[in-house]
Amino acid sequence: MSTVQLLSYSPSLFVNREQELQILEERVQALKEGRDGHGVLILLGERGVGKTWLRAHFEHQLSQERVPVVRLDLKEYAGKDPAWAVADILQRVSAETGGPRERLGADLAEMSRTVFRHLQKFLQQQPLVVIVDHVYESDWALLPLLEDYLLGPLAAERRVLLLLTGRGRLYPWKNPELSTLADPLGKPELKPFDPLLTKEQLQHQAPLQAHRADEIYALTGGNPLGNYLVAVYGLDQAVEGLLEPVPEEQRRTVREYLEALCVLRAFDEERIPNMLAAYYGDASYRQWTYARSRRVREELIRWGLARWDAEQRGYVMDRIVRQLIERYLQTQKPELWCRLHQTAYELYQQWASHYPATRERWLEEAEYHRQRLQEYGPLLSRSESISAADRRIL
Amino acid sequence: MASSTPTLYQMPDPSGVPEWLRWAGFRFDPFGPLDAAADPHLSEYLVGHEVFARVWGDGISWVFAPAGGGKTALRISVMQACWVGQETNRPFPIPYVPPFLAWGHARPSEEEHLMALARSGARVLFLAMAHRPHWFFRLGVSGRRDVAHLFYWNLPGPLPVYLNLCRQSRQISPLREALDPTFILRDPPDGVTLQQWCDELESALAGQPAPHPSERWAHLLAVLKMLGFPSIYILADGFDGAPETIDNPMMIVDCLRPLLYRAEKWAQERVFLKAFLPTETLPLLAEEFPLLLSDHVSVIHWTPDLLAEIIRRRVYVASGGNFGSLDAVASPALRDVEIVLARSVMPLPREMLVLTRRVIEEHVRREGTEGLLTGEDVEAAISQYTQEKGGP
Repeated sequence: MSTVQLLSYSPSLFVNREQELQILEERVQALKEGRDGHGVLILLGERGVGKTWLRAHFEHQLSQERVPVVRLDLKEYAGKDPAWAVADILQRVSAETGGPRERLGADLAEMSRTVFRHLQKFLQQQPLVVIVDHVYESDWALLPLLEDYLLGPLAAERRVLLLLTGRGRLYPWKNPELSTLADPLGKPELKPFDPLLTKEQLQHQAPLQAHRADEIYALTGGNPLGNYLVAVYGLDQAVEGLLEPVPEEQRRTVREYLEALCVLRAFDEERIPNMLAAYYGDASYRQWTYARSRRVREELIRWGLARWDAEQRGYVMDRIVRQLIERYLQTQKPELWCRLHQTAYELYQQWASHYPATRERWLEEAEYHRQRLQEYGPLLSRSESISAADRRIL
Repeated sequence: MASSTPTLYQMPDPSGVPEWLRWAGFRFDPFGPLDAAADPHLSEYLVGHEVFARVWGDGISWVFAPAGGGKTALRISVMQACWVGQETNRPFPIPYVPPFLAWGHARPSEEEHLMALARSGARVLFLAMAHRPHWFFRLGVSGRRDVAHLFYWNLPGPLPVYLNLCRQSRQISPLREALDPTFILRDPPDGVTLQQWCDELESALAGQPAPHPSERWAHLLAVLKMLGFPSIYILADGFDGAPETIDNPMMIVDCLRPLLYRAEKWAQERVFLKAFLPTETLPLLAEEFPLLLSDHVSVIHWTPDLLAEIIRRRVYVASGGNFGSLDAVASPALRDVEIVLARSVMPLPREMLVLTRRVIEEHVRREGTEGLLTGEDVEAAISQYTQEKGGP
């Protein structure tokens, strides 16, 4: 059972994001004055980078300015029947914009028409901000229905500002206002804090640890959630905190997969069995079928812990998760960390010699692992449990 | 409305490809439909977003591309973007592919253009309204009569015939089959509502004789305005579809000219011409209509990177966002699959799709319906493709 408690948003604990808040403020002003230029904003960013807090702060400001807001969290609809979910969402939007909650229609199309008929009247009186959280983590069976019956028509409304937040796989909307013509908030993603802001954050949220700001920044790269978790709970529990969206009963296994793969810059179904074999010290993993490896990959993607990366030409782990887990292994289980890098090094060497067409690519990966092992040689040499085999490339 | 260019390859779906795609984690075959109009996912895997952004919106716009270069795909994407939602608060799209066969020539007068535009607009509105009968039900008596006459005058066959098709089947599909099998709109009404629409539409008809073509066009615009559409997009495509125009850009300009003379006046009435034309017509049009072409001009130039992006985007959508390259389902011996293919193919999207599918077919032929793509699959597909194209 995880003992980690994530910090809840409070205006007094909020730090920075002035640039993004200014953009939001400008859009809201345009909306209130009936000018063009509001439309659709997309807030993207890695886990823990501060999307939720920025959204909450924006909502807090809107409530102070008495601008009506409807917030929908698509996480609440995970695993639900998509048609039921959209019907429920339409009912909520209707109720929160002065329309009826019940008897909207016999099907989604009719419900949507009823909602928008009432919404037109609402918008004649006042503008509306609609915030949709966890959009891109949502099931691709839900999003097309949501687009057709709510988001697409909403995006066409002149007196609505739509803010879509999430991380992971960008959804290929059909509607240009939701894709081509939407503006990213934070260019193109919300960035982690720099060292100064990390310090400021810790002064607000974990003042007793603020003196460790530089050390923590070196571990987290300025990821605000990572900063807080490491400062308050330490590395091991910080990882547990980052895995909080994964159900308790699956968390152990998912964490093991992540530990096995964290040393890789990119992975795929070919690399998964090799790394699991090294991680568990069990060669039978190498016999895994492609389909079985794929289940691991799909599991990690499902929880937003990995995604396809066009530059790496493979799947990459969520940056902060990978960074903290690898650091955890490096400091707490150095022999395992070394074995994993060694395995990766050998695998890429093998691929480089077997596959001449892609040799350079795999040599580059092998070189990365060789350097990592060399870089941390002094640390490893202090560990008594490192085998001769594990040391041999150092 | 189908693609404006003929399908170059009518490939059967060889047994095994769908199975391999399923094995590899695809939700559907993204390389199958070579005719953009027949692809329900087209808008989802649009590449060249900056071109779309320039075309979309209230303004005259121009897209120039070679034959098979994605003009129709873009035109259909614009059309699909117009059909978002249940209401009439988006632009109304009139897909306009000149009816050369009906004209019997390629130098249409303004009158012939207007007649064809009115017909095309009426056909689209009829199909859209069959899906959205509430647009009709909320009209008063005279509004209903105007709509009924628009259909009566401009549909290719008698209105009662189409209405009977609906009544008999209690579905819209026969209507789509008869008028435009590629017309895609969500949420057709139930049988009872459809029946009611047919009855009320027919009863609104007063049987007035058809007026002059220019009046029919004006009538269409008035009806669309009455229904609440904020603007109208004329999506002109397929001007190189006649034997006289296929290799003759000047002839295309001649054909287009009556519309161009009207374009600016139309724009003042919120009717915006959006033309999708062969690249060769750009210098001719720019010389003759410099003001008209001073803005919103896009030229689609297919580089290997952009061609590779077509495949990556389709892979991404068809895999449910799980992966964005064939590299994910290729052996470690093979990387940058899309770029390898893009450098071996004629620089046209359709050709890129053909070659990609050929790689999978080769794989299935050699290895069966499972397993990662290999360098040999790619080499064999490229070799076969090159031979077919008359290469070495």
